[in-house]
Amino acid sequence: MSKASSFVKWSENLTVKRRTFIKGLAFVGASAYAIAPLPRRDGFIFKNRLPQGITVDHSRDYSRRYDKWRIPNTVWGMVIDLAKCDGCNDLTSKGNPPRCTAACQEGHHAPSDYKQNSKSYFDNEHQTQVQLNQRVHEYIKVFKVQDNPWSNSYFFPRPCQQCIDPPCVHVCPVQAAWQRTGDRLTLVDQERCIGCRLCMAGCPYEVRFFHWEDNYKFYDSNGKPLGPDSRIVKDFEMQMPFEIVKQKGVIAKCDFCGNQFLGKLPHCVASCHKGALYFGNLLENSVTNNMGETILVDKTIQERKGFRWKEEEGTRPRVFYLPANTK
Amino acid sequence: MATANEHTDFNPVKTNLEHLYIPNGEVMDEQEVMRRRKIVEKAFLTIRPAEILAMLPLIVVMWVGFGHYVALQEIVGLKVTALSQKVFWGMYITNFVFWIGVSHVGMLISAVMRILNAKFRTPITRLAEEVTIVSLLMGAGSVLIDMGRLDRALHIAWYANMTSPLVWDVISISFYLTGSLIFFYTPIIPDFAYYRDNLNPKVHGMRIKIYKILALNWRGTQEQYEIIEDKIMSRLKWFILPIAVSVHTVVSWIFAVMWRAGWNSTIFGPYFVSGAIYSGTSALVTILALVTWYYGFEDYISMTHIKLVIKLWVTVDFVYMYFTLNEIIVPAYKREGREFSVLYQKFYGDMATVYWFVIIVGAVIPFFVGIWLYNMKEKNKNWFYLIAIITSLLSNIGSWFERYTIVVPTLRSFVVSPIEPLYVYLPIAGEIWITLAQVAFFIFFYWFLNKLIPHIPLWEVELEWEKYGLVKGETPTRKHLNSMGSDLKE
Ligand code: SF4
Ligand code: SF4
Ligand code: SF4
Repeated sequence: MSKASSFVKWSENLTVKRRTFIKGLAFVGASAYAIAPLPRRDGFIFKNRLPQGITVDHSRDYSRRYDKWRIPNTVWGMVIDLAKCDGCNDLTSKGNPPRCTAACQEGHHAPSDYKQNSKSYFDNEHQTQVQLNQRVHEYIKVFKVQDNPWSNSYFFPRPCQQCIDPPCVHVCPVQAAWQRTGDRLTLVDQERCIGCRLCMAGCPYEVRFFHWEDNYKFYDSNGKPLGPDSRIVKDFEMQMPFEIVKQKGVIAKCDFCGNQFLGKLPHCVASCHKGALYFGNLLENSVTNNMGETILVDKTIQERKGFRWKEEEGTRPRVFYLPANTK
Repeated sequence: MATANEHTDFNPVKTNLEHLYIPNGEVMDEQEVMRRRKIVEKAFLTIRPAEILAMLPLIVVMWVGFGHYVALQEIVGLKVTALSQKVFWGMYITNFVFWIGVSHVGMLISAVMRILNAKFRTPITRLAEEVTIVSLLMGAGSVLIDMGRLDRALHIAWYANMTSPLVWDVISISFYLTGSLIFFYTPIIPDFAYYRDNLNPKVHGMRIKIYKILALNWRGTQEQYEIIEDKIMSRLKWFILPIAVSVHTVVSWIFAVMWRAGWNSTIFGPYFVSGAIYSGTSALVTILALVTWYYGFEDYISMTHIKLVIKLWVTVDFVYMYFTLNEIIVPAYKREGREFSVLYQKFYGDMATVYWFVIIVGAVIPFFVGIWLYNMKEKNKNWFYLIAIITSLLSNIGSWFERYTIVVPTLRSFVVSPIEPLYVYLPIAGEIWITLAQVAFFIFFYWFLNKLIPHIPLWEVELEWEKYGLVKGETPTRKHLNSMGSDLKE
């Protein structure tokens, strides 16, 4: 058969089998759809850089951020003693953040200085303090609270409540807000987040923070990127602690640090000068503060009438508060 | 031109006009039909100097907005807006809700009115469908503008999380856009075919080429008409209805499924849909009045047509006000802490001016003005157009601010303790330019579509005239059909 006639034959087949052709197209499309996400996963990059002395569940594929930092049979939790927290008044009265907030921002290299465009003033007409352009990342933030006009005010530290049933995970369109199996930490996959901020609306506790620009802490005072020897770049490559974000347009929040995988307390817990924050494995029923005090979770909650914030939302947080006025 | 009274044997005025709303009720001869067609042809085939003058500032605004987006927001990040950790959604999400809302008019006019067999929809369908298409594109664009990482937009398809209301939204908007495009495009094909065959190739060579592609080899046979009318349009009209309703319902769920005071409402779905249809109808009233007045389309779109749209508009306004009242009364009566802090901002606080503008200028005044316009006499035509344009524009601005007062006050109010400071969101230049650029783009794109496509579905209107015996002799549509060997006979 000559070349020309075989071509004719081929094209005839083509017209006859147009349906098959369309099926083929659909197949190509579907396979492109299936393999497309693969190169985006960062797991491959970090797979071989496991730190020593860490027990790792090797049965898992490392397809997600922070996945190498994982210990089986743990449920991390926090207990916050509101009776102990004094809001770090010595610092906040001078306009500085409280110790836990500062330690957390320092540890996570989180944007902490937006003074140039973050204004606050007192509105005489409405008799309220007004806050403009608040863009600081405060994964733990301390609020002054007064329950009723007769009670004393107290201070209320607010980290991510690490819900067992987290609304942020339900609403995220791309599963960038996710809860991993095992320790069930609620994490953010910054390789995947599209910055739609649905999770910020979904979180009943408002503990999610958006990176409005590239993280300035990756640059020196002249605007040059810091070299590979700088602490921030090393931390970033190690993914320790969690939530070190370099590029703009994604979400970050309290992730319970990951320090616990190194056998350390989270930054905020370690920095509290009153020992008001306790952290530990809830399955072991014990939490510890930085003063070395270890308490039993169930017993303390019963005795001190501990509570979870916004129990009515059904989110089942893993942060427990001990009330201020029952001591 | 003969008037109806001379035809004593058959009087179409008495028998058919009540539900057909043909202007003046005259029986037309061929020249008259051609004269009318020429008006439309003049409007869509030529560009007037005044139009160019009007488009120039729009292009400037689009350019500034585009520059703000590309050179600032995409490079620096959303830092160039006034958004903050507390008020993280602002003008862009407002725009999103607004544009998606406006798009609902196409569904109302072409699907609902088709189902109800309302004859007055014929000449205005196309103008309404164009609003739908362009504003749906604007709405989808608003989400993309609001996203922190535009480069990852496809992640929504790759990693779609079916429990997320945003994914539902992407799905229903895609369906609605596809359905609307079919609904919009199919009835233009015969018009494309007519102009493919009847334009002067020396003057409109380029257009003929475009129409040749767009007319999809239309031959005007009985079978082809049946495909359009019986197979596509009369089936699709049933599907487009639930899809369109789902679109704004899902948009409302983006807010209503969140744990936030002011959004935590079961009535949000119907409330948003009514607001959507209301704002869409306002936009249609503006456009109908403007286009009819400027191009002189009164022979196709009479005052009666616009009045009927206004009647719809007023009815929907009433439903919308009713839902708004429900939204206000229930939380205002209970004054629950967080809900009340949202309401307080709207009623007496720093959002009060905006809010009362929304209620009074955006909803109440259009209701009464609409009733007044509906009863206006034919001789006050110019006043009618002027007042219709101003009122409907104001109600559209009101609709935009209504979305704004849904999004912003909720985010500003406290979460932890009532003694938190009040967080303020004041949009800054970049956001405002980008929003204005969207409006400019809407107008520009709409205008551009109207230069490509006849404003009126000419063949539909002409066949309808024939059907009711309002023309003596052959209409251009009929001649064209015959010349193509059509077998469409009645
Ligand atoms: S507190 Fe908010 S961010 Fe943290 S897990 Fe719960 S919903 Fe998610
Ligand atoms: S901002 Fe990121 S993490 Fe939050 S919902 Fe959107 S994609 Fe998910
Ligand atoms: S646990 Fe870690 S991330 Fe969370 S607030 Fe404390 S220091 Fe910050």
